[in-house]
Amino acid sequence: MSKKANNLKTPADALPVAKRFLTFERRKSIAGLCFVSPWILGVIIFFLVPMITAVRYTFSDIQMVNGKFTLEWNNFENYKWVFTQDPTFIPDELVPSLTEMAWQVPIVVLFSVFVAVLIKDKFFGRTLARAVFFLPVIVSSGVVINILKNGIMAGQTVGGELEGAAYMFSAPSFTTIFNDLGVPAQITNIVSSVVNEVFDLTWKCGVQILLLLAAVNNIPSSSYEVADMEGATGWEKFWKITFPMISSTLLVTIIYSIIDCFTDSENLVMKRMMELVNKGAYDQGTTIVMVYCICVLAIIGVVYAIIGRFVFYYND
Amino acid sequence: MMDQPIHESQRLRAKAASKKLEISYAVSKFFKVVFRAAFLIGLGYVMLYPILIIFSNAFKAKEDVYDPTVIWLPKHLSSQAFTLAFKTLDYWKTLASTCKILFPSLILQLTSTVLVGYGFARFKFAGKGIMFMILIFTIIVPMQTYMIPLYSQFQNWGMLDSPVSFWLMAIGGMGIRSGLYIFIMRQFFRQMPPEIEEAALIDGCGYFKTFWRVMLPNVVSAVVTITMFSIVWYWNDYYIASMFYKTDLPLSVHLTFLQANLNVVGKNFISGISDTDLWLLRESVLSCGCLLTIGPLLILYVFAQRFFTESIERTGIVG
Repeated sequence: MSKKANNLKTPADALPVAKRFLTFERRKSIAGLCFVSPWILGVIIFFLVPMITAVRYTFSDIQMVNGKFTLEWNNFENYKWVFTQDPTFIPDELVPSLTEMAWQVPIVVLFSVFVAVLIKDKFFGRTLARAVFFLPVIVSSGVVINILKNGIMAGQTVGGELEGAAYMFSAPSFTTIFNDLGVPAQITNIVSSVVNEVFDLTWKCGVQILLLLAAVNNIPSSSYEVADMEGATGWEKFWKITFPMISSTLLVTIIYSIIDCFTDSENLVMKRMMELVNKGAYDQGTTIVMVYCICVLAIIGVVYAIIGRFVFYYND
Repeated sequence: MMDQPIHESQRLRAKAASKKLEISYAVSKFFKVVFRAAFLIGLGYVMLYPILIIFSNAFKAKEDVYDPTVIWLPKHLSSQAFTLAFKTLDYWKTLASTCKILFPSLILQLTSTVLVGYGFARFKFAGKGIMFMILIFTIIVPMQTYMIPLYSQFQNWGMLDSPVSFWLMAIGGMGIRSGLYIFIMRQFFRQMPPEIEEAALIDGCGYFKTFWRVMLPNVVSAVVTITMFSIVWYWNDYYIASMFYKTDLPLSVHLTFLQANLNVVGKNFISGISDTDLWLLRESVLSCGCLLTIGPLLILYVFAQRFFTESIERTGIVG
């Protein structure tokens, strides 16, 4: 930006003072600020201020007196508690929820790409298929899914097993076969949990499928026509046209899936946080989320840095 | 003279080959169709399963609850469960409360996110890099982290128990998942070729007019997508509403108390209903509650879906 301002200096000297001040670049940047201004105010009031307060909470000892918080600075006591004293946080909550994220996100994203490409062409019943794929978005993002899982479907399973309550499918035979074949237990666990959670996983894909569907539909059909004329196969068309054209949306989808996994109310860390807050331990609850938040931030940073290299923008 | 038979056999061979190719093409197409149909039907069943369960349970009479021959279709129909759910939820009042949050927030949120997304995509201004970093932070930092300070802030302003808190956050680009919408809009605006915008500016269009007349019509598909998301998430929002509301609860929050409320007040609504009957009807009442909660969304979706796909295709041609 500073380079461009320097370039403009010489011819602009001839202009009157007011015009010299409001160069094209400056006017453009003022317009940009106008477009962004509602967000600037909002983010200060509803994000930065509460966030700084929350960080202060993690360094304080909080007491509730007459419905008001009193803060007392206690250095790193809360963090010390999380890392050295709390027996469950790291092995039982932080590590499992991060590994869960590591295998769930790729499956969800690959599956969404697959479905989006599959239902993009015209075929009999496409409207119906699309309508069906939006259903998870309507139902799962609410409390409805929890009522369904715990209140209604739990009553439907005949044996009344605890596992059967949450899962629609189960894979006991899978695990025995895999164990007999001598597959390592970790891999077996991952495979069987994927199979067990087919229901949960497909229900998590609603938003991703829609995002990718919108992206796939925004690809100009002329590029496919050209590829057809040149005799490209479906496989080549996917890798040379579809994939680059949806790559920016793919990045959004991946990041969205990570965040979705992370803010899920079923997430172990979130559950623990609510437990602590309900006990009145606001400082410790906030600290736990803060630590988790920093971990996820780091993961997203790495993912963005790696995948961002391969993203193709039409106008670049 | 010698050429004739050779030529003929060549022609026949070529014909046979092209026929073979045609058959193999037809076979591969057939398998493609079958595979897609099988896959989509299977997946459709998984997706529809909860809805089917809701509908199957909602109008089941209490006689059918322990009848093992009843699997999907109930033998006896009754509207008792529906009446109980409707009255226990205090449906019209709860629905009004949800709408008071939803519609103003929706419009404010759309306005702010589209404008801000455009600002981030196409302008250079001081501090943009830092602002964009903060935007990313607003997406990835969960609300739970700063919910308690936010709560006390709204408490100080006396805005708890009212939809104003939702409206303010929506216009400030901090509504439910606003950050994500801004990011989506930015990606879409960035994908547009800059030439059309430059052409409009050179022809004397102002910045806002360029945005309104040239850029916005080209991202209709993205706007429709985020409208759908926005409606759904405001409608289903449980976390924020349960923090900010103590009375006049919206649907999603009220639904979680359905079972507890049913045991307390359920008897008042149907005269002479026994405790056993209430317990037997419990699953049906919960199903009706779910149906009442997602019903309006389902109806809306049936109408909006057409518009949604059309707009996607329209922009597909333009882009």
